Amino acid sequence: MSGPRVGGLRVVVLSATALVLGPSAARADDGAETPPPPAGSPAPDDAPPAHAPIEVRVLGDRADQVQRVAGSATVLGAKELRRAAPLDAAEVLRRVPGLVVRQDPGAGLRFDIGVRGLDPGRSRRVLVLEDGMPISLNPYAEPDLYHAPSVDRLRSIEVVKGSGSILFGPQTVGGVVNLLTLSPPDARQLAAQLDAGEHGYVRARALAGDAHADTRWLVQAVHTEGDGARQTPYRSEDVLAKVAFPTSTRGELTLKVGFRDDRTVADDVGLTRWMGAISPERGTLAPDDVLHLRRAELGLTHEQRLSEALTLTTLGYAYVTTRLWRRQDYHRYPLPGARYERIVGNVNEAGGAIYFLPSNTILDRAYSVAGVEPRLTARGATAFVGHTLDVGARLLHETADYEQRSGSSPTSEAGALETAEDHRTLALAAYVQDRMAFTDELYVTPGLRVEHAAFERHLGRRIEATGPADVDVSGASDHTAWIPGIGMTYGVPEAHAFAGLHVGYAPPRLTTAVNANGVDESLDAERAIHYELGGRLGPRKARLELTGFLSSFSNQVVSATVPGAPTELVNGGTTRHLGVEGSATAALGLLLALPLTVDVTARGTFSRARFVGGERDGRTLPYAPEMLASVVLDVEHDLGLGGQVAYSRVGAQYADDANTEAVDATGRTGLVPAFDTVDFGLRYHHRASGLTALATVKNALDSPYVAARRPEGIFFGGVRQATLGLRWESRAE
Amino acid sequence: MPRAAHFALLFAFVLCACGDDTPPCEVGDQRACSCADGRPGYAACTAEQTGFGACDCDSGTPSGSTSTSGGAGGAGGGGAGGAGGAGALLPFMSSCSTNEECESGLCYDFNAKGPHCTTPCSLDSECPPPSPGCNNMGVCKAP
Repeated sequence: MSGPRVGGLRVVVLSATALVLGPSAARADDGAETPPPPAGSPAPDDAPPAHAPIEVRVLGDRADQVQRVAGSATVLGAKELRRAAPLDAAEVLRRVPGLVVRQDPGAGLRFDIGVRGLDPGRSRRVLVLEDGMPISLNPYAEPDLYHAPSVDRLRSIEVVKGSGSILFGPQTVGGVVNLLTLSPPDARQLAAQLDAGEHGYVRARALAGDAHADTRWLVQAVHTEGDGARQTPYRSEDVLAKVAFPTSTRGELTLKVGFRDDRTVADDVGLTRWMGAISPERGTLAPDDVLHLRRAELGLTHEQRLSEALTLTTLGYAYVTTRLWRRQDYHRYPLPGARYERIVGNVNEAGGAIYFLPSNTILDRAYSVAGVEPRLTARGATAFVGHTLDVGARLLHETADYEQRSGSSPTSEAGALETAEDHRTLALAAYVQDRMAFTDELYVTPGLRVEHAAFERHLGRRIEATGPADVDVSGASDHTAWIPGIGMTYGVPEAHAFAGLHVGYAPPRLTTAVNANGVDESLDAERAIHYELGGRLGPRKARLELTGFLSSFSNQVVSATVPGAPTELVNGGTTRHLGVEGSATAALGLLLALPLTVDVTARGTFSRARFVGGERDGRTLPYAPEMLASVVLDVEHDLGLGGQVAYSRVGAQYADDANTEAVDATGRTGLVPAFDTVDFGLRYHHRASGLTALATVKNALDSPYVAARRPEGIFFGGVRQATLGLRWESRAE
Repeated sequence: MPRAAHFALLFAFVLCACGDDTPPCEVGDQRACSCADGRPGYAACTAEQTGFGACDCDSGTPSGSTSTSGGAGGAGGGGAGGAGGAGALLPFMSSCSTNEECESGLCYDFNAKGPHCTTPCSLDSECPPPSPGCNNMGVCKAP
């Protein structure tokens, strides 16, 4: 691609990304001296490649763009990802203030992300995007995330929790996590990697990319397998391919194709209190419970520069997910006449044992999502006010097909059909946001989003009093929401304050909106008002960001904390989340004039998420720890030697809305005590050969802790995982 | 020895030095078995956790003293469960304070009516009287 066009394209891309994140009239960009990065912003070596990728971002590449974000914002850039050498994405997401991240105790193939006291279950309260595109099973009807994108795909992670999140949807209750994937290189790039470690862990990766004339491409394949810390064997294949090419002198298209195949032992029944007390390191109770997930995706991002002040960015995407999950049936109390395959736990304590039947239940589901989203960005001025206008719309169609079958053995994947149903959602969203620059220091950004979704549910077979029977039951439900927001920033890049408020909205899940009789339950959607007030200080050698927040939910949907009940979400009523979160980074190497890089980053959150009114008044929401903290110390020498120590602490949590502290015999209710984790990493990079050697120890304390008491019982984390790795990379100049 | 060789040795150590010391069974584990005469029974894990002991075909399904004739099952595997049981446990829709008190193993705190023994459900027809039906929370309503 020719130089001049590349330069022009970069201007467009930077403008577009700046538009997305906050007030960014041209007056603030043009000729501005690049300021030192504020807290949480990308470090200088995270600067975009010479050819900036065409993509939708919630934050920008340039450090000063974070300054204009009217709300809490964090970027985990390429440098931070490289230094952490994470085994999975959850490991680095834990370092974001305000996020509670529970990684899957097996391979990290799944993760649960919660924000500021919101339920982290299956990350359904956070809008997780990949390159600006949704990745959940069904973004409207079932926004659960059943796969964690491979950390090897990622080059950066952006997290925004303020009013800017209304540009993305449908959910605006928590925040936006945008995972940015590798971009095609400007010249030939080859890479290979092999990691191996405890618990049979093996990860192999190969990457190739190049540029031919104006076309750039990249292909990466990753294979991961292991035995799991809890004897939950897994394997995963992840393939990513991208190609970028010009469509005209003013347009470029990036095409992305991806494939994922996971097969892992995935249980939903954990240890009872007795088992947890005598053998917390015990392996899975249900080794025949297997989850097989396949996902294929196609995405395109097209950008057309219509004029110097007008840019049209269009996203198009489609993905399908199939998920077959077989789970062995069990009873918590023995039934007369029942013949059990095996019994685990303490049969002399009521609820202390689990009685496994010689049968299983097979949950066979298929999902599809397709969407298109054009976004027009215009810059201009009226009188003394600079405007950057974002106008966009999104049409999304999603489907889901469920089958539940009863298998006659714990390993059956066929079985007899018990229930069958299918879902359809057609959703239309539109938004407008104007970033007004009154002066170089004052930016005000009002915006409005409207969401409309039409749900349909059809049941073809269900369990009647006499057993499974074919039925023909349909129902429909419609939801419309207006989601306004406004944010402002005041100050200079080195020191500024921000404030904002926006409406939080999440549509109800389809299975709760339309009941099993096909009746529209007219459930309220989830609604809240979020307020933020904070500031950033960004001197060169030390950076600080502090944000106070208040989220007031008129209705929050919470997980049913009914032991033994089917997994359902229920109206939790009014809740209030009040807290403060912050991050501080000190470049000790610079401050102390050391001959090496020494960076310390501390991040913390204090949050109180409580029910307001009703019988739960004053109680803390389940799985909402009041305190989160992390400290990362990283040392790096020019010779190529580096190391990192990362400490994190998660405060105590309740497992139910009654705030029960005593642990019941089943292990499902009771306090989840605070726990600490420490990770170590050493690395050596040999520049001449392109080789990097890595040694990491995750959960170095090797001290089991209660990670959760759900879905059904105690799940422990904290098992040590030591890994050695060798990586090679070659880049043509 | 060159550095690369050191690294290769370490790499091989990690690959090979992760032996599985998991015992064949855990204390409390029991598995189904058959006696010589064909009767079904259960064999318990030995105290040393070296394996399962002899098949016991005389004691029936192992259970604690508080659930002499069985109890109700929790929903397992997304579909399993059941009702029944008696002994000293509280019957369906009795007032309760803990799960252990209920035959169903589920003491649910209803908003207006307080905690009652109930069972999971997805349809009204799954809830026997005096419950008026299944609620949106997936449990049989309190009368």
